[in-house]
Amino acid sequence: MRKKRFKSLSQRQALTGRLFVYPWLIGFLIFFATPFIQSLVFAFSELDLTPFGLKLTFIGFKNFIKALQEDPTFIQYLTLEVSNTIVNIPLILMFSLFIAILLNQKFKGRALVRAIFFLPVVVMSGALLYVLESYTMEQFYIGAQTGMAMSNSPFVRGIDFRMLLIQITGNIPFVRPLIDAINRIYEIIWKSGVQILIFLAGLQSIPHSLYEVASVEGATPWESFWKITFPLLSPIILVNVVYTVIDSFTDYSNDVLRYILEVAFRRLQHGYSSAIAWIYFLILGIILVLLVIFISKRVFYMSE
Amino acid sequence: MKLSGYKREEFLFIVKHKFLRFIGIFLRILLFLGLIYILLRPVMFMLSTALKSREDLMDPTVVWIPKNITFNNFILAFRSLSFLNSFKNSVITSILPAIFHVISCSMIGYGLARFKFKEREIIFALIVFTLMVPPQVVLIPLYAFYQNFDILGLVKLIRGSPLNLLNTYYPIILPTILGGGLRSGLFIYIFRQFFRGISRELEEAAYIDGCSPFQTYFRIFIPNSIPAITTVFLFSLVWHWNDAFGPSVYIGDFNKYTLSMNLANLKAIITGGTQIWDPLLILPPQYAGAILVILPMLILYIFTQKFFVESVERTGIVG
Repeated sequence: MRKKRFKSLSQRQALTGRLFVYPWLIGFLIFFATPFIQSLVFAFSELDLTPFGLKLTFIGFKNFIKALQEDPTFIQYLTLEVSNTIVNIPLILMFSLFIAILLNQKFKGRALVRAIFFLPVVVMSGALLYVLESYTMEQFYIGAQTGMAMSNSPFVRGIDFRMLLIQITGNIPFVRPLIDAINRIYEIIWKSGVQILIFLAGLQSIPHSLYEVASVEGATPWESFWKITFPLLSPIILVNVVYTVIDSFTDYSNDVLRYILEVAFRRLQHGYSSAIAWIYFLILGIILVLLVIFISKRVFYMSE
Repeated sequence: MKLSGYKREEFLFIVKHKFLRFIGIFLRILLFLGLIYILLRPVMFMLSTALKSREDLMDPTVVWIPKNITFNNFILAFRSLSFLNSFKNSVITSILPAIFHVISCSMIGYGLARFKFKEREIIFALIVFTLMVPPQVVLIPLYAFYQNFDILGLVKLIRGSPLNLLNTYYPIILPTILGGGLRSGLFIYIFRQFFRGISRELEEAAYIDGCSPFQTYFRIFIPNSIPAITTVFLFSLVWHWNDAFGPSVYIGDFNKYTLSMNLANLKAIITGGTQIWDPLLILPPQYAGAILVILPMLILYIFTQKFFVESVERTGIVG
């Protein structure tokens, strides 16, 4: 009896820990795990939402085959989304690292500049993004409407950098997304808010004494960036890569996700929509795993 | 300039150093001005377009500052958004989840950061995993789940039939009570990292003074984690506020639409669903609507901004 009443410290610790954490597990089972497994079942079936509940008919891999072979819209959206993400990741990372390093320095008006840079984190997402997305195109449209003669003049429009690049590179398909990225410069800057925050937090966790030692030894800022900042920041780069991929794949403005919603609730093909969602999820998973494996090998941990 | 104290080489070195420093500062200011311009330009453009009258929109000489400022676009957007009603709905669907997120995620983060038990790492991995799955994957089962809401047959036992939670805000609020819902994995992660950084001594002192783990959580961890709480609350609030996807799945009743849902549909509301429309007629009210929707968040951000920016650094999202 006594043995049972007096638990050891580690047992009591485990018990309290579980008390705090298990509510999440309950929520996870109800709101995530069950639907997650169900949706896999749905992906292999034809599904009707009737007033009396669900009607399932098992049809095997038909939905998947349909998505990959018969549905042109899905493949188009998917390749577009994947290639966009792959192009955007390095751009967002480089940009946000650069900005984070600049914001980490001391200068006058730093608080104001930071506030403006984190503005996208706060205001940007969802419906606003949707309105802003059309911003560049529509602005051009208005410009073309209002000043037709003027906008044709190269002095007003400036040099069309994209066209120039396409001419130089000879329109190789591989270069195309990169050129499109120039067009998406707004998007990249607006999407880097959280990444800048993560990098900034990481930069601040690097001990300042390392830089002092380096500068005493005669290292230039360029050298100390590559020898100190970059290796110590590499775990955070991994975090940021993962965040960026997940963020862009689960973004509301994402075409694939909109398409999934459309298939499910306009065309009422729920099983098919589940299958698309699963293909999408698997591709995201594969990309993530590949990236994590690739980067993990190069990550440097100071404590080890 | 004090020339006398230095040798010639030293003087040149100082001049060179100062010159490079000046160039550096100059370049930085230039870069920041450019980037701030890019960040603020869409907002400014939206504001200026929204304030323009129809003549100004057609007038090529008007670029930024309208000649005749009109608030018609704002009035149209205000009405089309049915602002007051959907503002109320937005407040319900963002403040409640944000509060629940702070409470539940902080407790879960505390449990994960401060106590050792066997399955801890697995649970943490699962939490990260939930972030990875696009919400659309679980959408349809969840939809069916809320249509016939029942847990372990309890509701049926009491009411005789399962509840229909569609067209209510429960699908958005309920998961957040148990630490689920919109991007909750990130919030748990933030809290876990933050609590790990709080010193052991503080915790042990509380235990020696006779605090239970719950009291330690309330008296030591919560008061010391205001930065993390601000960050999570603001993120959760803003993401729920801007989220048009979740509500659009569960809510079909126009009276229950939130601001961001109405904003996403604003074009259709104004044009009445017709396919042919004049962008000059739609864009200005659309921009005005966007400004109206983000304005409350913007005001909130301006007030919490200093606190938020400082706190994020100390949150140590990275660990």
